[in-house]
Amino acid sequence: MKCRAILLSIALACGGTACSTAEESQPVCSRHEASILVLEAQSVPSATYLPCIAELPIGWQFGGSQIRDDGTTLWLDHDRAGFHAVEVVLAPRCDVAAAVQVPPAPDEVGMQTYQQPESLDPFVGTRSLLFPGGCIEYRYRFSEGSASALVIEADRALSSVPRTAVVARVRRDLDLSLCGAGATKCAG
Amino acid sequence: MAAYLVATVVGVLLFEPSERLFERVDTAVLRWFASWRTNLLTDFMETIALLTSRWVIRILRWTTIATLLVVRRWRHLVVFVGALIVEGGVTYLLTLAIHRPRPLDVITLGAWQGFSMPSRGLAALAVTLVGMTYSLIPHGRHRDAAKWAIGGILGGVCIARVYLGVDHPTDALFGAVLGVTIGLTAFRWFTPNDVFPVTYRRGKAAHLDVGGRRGEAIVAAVGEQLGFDVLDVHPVGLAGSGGSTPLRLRVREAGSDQDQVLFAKLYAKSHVRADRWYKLGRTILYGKLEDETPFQTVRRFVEYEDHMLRLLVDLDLPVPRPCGIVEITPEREYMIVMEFFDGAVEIGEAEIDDGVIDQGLELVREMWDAGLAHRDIKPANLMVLDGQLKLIDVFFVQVRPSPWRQAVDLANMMMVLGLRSDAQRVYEHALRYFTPDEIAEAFSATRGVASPTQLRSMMKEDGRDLVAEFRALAPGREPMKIQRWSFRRVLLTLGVLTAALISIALIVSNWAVFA
Repeated sequence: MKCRAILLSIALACGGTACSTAEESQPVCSRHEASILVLEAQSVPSATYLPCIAELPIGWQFGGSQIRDDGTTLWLDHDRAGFHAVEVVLAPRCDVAAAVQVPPAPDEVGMQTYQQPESLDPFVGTRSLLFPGGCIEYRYRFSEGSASALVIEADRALSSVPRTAVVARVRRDLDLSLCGAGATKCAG
Repeated sequence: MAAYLVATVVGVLLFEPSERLFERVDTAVLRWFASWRTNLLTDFMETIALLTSRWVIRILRWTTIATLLVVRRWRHLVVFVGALIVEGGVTYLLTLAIHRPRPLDVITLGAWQGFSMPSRGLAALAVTLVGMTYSLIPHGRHRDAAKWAIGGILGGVCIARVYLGVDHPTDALFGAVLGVTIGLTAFRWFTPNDVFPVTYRRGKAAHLDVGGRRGEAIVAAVGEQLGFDVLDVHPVGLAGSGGSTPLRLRVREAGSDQDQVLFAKLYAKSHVRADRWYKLGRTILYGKLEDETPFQTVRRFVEYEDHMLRLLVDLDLPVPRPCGIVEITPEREYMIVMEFFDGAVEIGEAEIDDGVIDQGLELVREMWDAGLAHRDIKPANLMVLDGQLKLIDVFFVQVRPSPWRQAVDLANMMMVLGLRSDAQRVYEHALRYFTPDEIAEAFSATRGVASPTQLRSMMKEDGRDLVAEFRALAPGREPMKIQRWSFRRVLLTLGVLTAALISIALIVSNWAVFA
């Protein structure tokens, strides 16, 4: 009886995981209702933008995430650029003292954009997006022998969503407030 | 278990379709707790919630592991580490499956990581506390008190985490139930108290507790199966016994008013497993020196020993008369009952005269002639009663053994006798039963593993190099090689090493993730 009960619960746990993690573990820009975007927003309540995946080109994979009360880290893997080829960090603030300000890309309007290249072959560098209440850092750490041009693909894969869109979606779906920037006052 | 199933079913299957309901109820509770927030109360709750911090849990876990290592409670240690790894894995998978964000509508005040349901901090604390209770605290009043304390601690931490807005009430509850259930299931299943009790008395793992329910079962079974009323049961000779629980039974036969004393050996499944590991270890260390085929069941254990006793009685050798086998728990625990040599003294503490020396050597000669080897000749298995030598513990007796094995019996007997007298005297007596060549062969075959641990340690304490003295007396002979190399031994050794390395790697890698 005990054995069957344990197997059943493990199966339930694993079955549930298999059917729901693939969608929910990736912060897809078009799915404002995704729990992981809500969790990102909770990790830096002041941040007005949240990093997300726009579209993964061939060869790129969403590697994973670590979301805590002091910030979010996502990473992308690539079949040639390697594991953790790009790390995306959402934090309340970034150090851009040694970086150079560059014009923002079309999907970065309203942000201050900085770049700090460290090496071209293999490509190593950091791109920082500063906005009210926080910042997003793209940290490129490509493996030896991978093309620097892959950075263009990585930039295409990554984007950000305004926090207000996620706040509005939570309000609409659950009638609750996602505390922090852009939300109504919370209890406590 | 029921609570775990309900919690899992609710958590995994019902959460998503009922998300709105869950959120509404949980948020109402969270808001109510948040309405009580004051600086002082928040400081207090943050202190309580520290119990779920990684460092506190690490300290608790490592302290438990260190304690279990010190008290050498290996089975509890493996179950404890296993429960932690299973809890970590199951909780992590469930958080991904349920993917519930942190509480909405209230400001979160404490530290957190990842999705909220089930609460990983509470599950980790719960499994740790349950593991500590079941592996460190003996069964009884103290353990019962610890269970209530765990309930209180987990309840307090649940309230603190909900107050701080780190977990929803259902996350906290689910995490606590999950952790407690994994811990309870692991320990109750793999270390049942009747078989693996937590005790701090000195003794060997092989010695089972014969009080409580087991004691009652022994009394009832001996009465029903052998027709004796058991008046009392006491462990006896534990120091010299490593493979069973030796007992002294005071009994009275039905219809008689005369008490008598019997000797019994209690065997359990743990002894079968220990025998298997012992033989595996010997095969790896020395190769296939002799028959190392392990027993498969406890029933076979006692059947074999009973058979050997009857065989030796038939040969008129001075062994205890068998009284029969008693089934305590079918396929789990059996007891073999035999004559007790009341008043007998272990040879290590007895006065040895020429008569006893002769009896010891003659005993080996008779076993040689009958095609038998005792294979465990040591002081604890040789008793002296009124000047008569008695041989006990025939569990290792082998029929038609190798000449090497028989030679070792002779050397061990001579060393036991030599410990209580001197080599020259024993050698001279031995020449009455054995040729010089046979004695020389015995001492060329005997070293290290060939002698029982008790005999080796007594010889070390004695200080004399008895083996060298006997070798000097006997004709010269090259030491016999006791290492046997085979493809099977190499394969077995590699297999065990690989399994050990994989286990260590699994524990270390999982520890880094979940500890």
